[in-house]
Amino acid sequence: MKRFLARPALFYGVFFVGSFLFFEINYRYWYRFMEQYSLFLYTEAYFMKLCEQPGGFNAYLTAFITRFFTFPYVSSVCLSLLLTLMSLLSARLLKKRSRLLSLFPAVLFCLFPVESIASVLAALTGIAAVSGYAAIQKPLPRYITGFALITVCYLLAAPAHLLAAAGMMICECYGAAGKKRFFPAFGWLIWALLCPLLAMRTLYVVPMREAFLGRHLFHPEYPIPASFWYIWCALPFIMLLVYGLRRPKPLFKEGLRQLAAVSLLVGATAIALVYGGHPLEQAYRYDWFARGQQWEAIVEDVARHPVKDRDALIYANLAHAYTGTFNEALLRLPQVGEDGFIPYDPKTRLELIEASEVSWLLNHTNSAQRFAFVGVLSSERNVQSRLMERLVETYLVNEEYKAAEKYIRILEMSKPHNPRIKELRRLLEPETSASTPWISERRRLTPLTDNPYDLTKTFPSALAFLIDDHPDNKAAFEYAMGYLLVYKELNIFMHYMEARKERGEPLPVVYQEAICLFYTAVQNEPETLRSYSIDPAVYQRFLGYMQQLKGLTPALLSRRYGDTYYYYAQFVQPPRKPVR
Amino acid sequence: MKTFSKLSPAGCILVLSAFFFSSCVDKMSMPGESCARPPLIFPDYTDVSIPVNIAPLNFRVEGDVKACSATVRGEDGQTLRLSGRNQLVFKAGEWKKLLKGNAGKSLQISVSTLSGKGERTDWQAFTIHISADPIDSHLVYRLIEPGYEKWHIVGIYQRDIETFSEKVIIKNDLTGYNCINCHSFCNGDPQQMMLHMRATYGATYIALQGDIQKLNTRTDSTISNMTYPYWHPSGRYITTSVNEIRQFFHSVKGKKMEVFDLESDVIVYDVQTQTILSAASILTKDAYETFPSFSPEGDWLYFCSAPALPMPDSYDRIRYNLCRVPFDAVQGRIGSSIDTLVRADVHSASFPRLSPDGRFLMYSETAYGQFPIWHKDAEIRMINLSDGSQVDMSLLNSEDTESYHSWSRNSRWVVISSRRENGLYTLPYFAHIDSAGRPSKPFLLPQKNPDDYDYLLHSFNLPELVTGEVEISPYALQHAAKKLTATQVRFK
Repeated sequence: MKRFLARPALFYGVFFVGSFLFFEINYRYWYRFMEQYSLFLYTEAYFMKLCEQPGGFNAYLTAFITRFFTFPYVSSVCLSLLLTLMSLLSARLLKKRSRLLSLFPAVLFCLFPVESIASVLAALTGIAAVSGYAAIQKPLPRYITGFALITVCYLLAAPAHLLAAAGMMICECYGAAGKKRFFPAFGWLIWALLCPLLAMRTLYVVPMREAFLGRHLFHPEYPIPASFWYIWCALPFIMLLVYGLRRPKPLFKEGLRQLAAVSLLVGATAIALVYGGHPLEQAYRYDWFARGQQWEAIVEDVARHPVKDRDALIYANLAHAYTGTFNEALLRLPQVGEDGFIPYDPKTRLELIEASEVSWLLNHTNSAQRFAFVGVLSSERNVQSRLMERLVETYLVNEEYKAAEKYIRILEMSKPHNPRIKELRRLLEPETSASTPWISERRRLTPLTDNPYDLTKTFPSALAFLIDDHPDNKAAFEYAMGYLLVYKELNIFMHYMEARKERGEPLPVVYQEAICLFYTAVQNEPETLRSYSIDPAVYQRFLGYMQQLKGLTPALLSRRYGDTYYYYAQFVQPPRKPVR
Repeated sequence: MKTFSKLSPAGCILVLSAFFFSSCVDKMSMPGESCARPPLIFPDYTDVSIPVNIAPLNFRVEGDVKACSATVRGEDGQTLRLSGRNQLVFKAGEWKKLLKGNAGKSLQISVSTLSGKGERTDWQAFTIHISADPIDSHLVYRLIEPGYEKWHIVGIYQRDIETFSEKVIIKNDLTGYNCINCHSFCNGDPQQMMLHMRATYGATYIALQGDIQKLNTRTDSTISNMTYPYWHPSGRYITTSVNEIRQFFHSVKGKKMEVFDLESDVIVYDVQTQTILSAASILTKDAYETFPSFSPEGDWLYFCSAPALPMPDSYDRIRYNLCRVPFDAVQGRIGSSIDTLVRADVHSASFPRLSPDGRFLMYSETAYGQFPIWHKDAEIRMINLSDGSQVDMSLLNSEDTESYHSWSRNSRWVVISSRRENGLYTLPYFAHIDSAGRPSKPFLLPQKNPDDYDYLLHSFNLPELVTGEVEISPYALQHAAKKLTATQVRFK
């Protein structure tokens, strides 16, 4: 038993399984979301373009690995493997004195999950470099190797060179006696700091931050998160701790210590599994379903779980609209008003995808194109494969075949065998696209009246133009009526109902309830009410509500009529209209 | 078999590659089916005129091509043979020698291809005419996403047209991801340059012989910072417009966005005294003036002008006339009489640019407004100033947007911005203008690897021909942006 517990394979095996479960349960959709921002191209030009930047090879490798994150378990397996490898290398550097401490850098990656694995790969490269350096005993070969390793780390995987230099410094400081040991130590520090400065003058024209840290760890326009520094200081910190402190006399026997270590690891994993998770997990999950057009999956999920935030609500509304259940679900969902239908003036990555998705649903092709375009630009690496596909779709609808082909060509370089891309190429033939139902239907519903209204900033006005042009634009009509009902704007709602009545189209229950309420409580016109085709059951229920209104307790009233529009209109506070 | 099994994987790949290429070469050497039309190549270099000092015109053959070869014959007897998978790439030295030996003559290029099915085709030869007129050695342009309201990476770059060397002049990741725009040179001189930055480190930057001035050009008497600039040939003045610019997005098919002015004027800035000359400013409330430029002698100021209509309601009714006024460079004064060269009855003019020899006036024309880049109908027009007649520019234009143009110093070449390739990304095309003003078929800026255009997600904005390399360092401009205090320009 003692031997079994002492085996590193058991300890690191437990860590691998624990981290795999942690990422798979809590971050599965987060990494799938991030995959969209990595458009790996199988071209030499792409490779050269990335390699012309500090840390570019690391970015290339990251893009290649990330390309497979859409497949089940790949991201979790990949991250767990990398972190376990990192821990094993750290343990080697710590001279196997403390297995728990060797997990420290990897655990920090779990506590502060990164957007791309570029950071993990760079850290791993740095740790591997220190490990290789520390393994060489003879000074001169070690110094030559150290110089080469820092340089290569910088060129291929910056900022790995900083971690490598820090590790090498510590190795030198604690590896020998005498003052001479400090010369190589500080030499590494100076070389690691000089490398980017020299490269700025000779190889690259880049800002200081990029010269030191590379471009691809984080979005270049955003500040570096504090977690980066915690993670990157972790290895030097534990090395200092282990090398610098005298080894304490063990309090327990070896077997007991190993048992405690494994138990601690298992306990921490269990806590992480229960309490970990990304706050936007639901939104990212819905985004994944939306990406695959699995709208039913979102509707099913919404039926089982509460909608937690605005982004998830936008997808829930979208999914209900796609599945023809928008009106039924309107009052069941925790509507927050305009922002729950479409994000206002979208800026973030998720918002831009949402805005493009909603615009696409509403057949506002130009807006779908615009937000897709801005979404592509706003990404870290200037690409967004999913929105690039959307761009192609919008250009096909707008009959701009040359622009569509431009993006198809790029997508083909990334996904040469993808059937969807092949299908898009086939649609470059004008006759083929004209006879494709989704394209011809969207062309039919293209806005006719030009107007300057931004769908995200002036949602109701832009919607009004859409449905004035095409009253049969079902999605736009439902969203517009949903907006009016949520804000209780019954007068305007009735304007559209009159037009709908003239067209003789059937009315969803929520509309019927609103009409009953309007012609009874707002305008007492029973004759006009009769002119609408109201389901007798809906009308009888409404009459029952009116009769029991004063007799029932609020709780009972809510239980019996809480799902009706007239209850909502009377007792539920509508969302506040945003003041922009 | 024993020997083969000892080969490493890399060795196997080498052997297989050698086998593959030798079989292609064998098939390429056999006579094939002749095709009575030239091959479809990208970029389209068939029957174009090129300057004697241009970089190699590497191209790829489109379609189902497994291997290709070409024979290039010069009139002087030189012959080059090239081969590749689907690309034909010239060696720089051989290309240079070929062009030098055939200046004023033509090249015949015969291309043969091998399809995926192993069928060889011998395409009809096409011609490239080599003009003895050289083009200015450098092209300066801004690379920017052809985007809406958001920019990400913007940079001003210079490309040596004689080679494939591209260098950064300034990139906005050095300056806080601000907007950098409107680079302009005095007579194409790389030593006299200006550009603007907006948002972070917002100012106008003038680089003169290596010294950089940072200017705050907004005054109480002008409506905005300096916007669209043009240098006086003496280098003493810069004329610019001041514009209150707005934009909106269309909802209907075929239109993307509209950029318009709520107000605009034309001013002249004195570089020496750092003042805006009130005597040389066209500040009117009843008209919008924009896109000024000087004549090569500096005695006329050209600009576009439209009656002030309520905007944005009249965005598709506003049309800009092309006008000029006398300019006295000694006094720094604008004359009073305005000539209208092109009346905007049915079209709107923008970006007037005179050829350095003063004979031709080139401008952009679109159905309405002053921002042609988003108008598919936008075309390049040219007036022969000796008789005021319009020169036929149909060879220069395409079905898509042509929006900007810059002259070479010898007045024999122009670079134009065009979206003809894909309708979205603006790319630079060069065209020869002969002594009578007739243009030749434009050709795309050559790249070392023609596939680079496929992945390019930037437009070449405001391509300007320059006579040499801009030597100012990007870090010097970065330093000026971050450390210098902007000098406030006075309105005199």
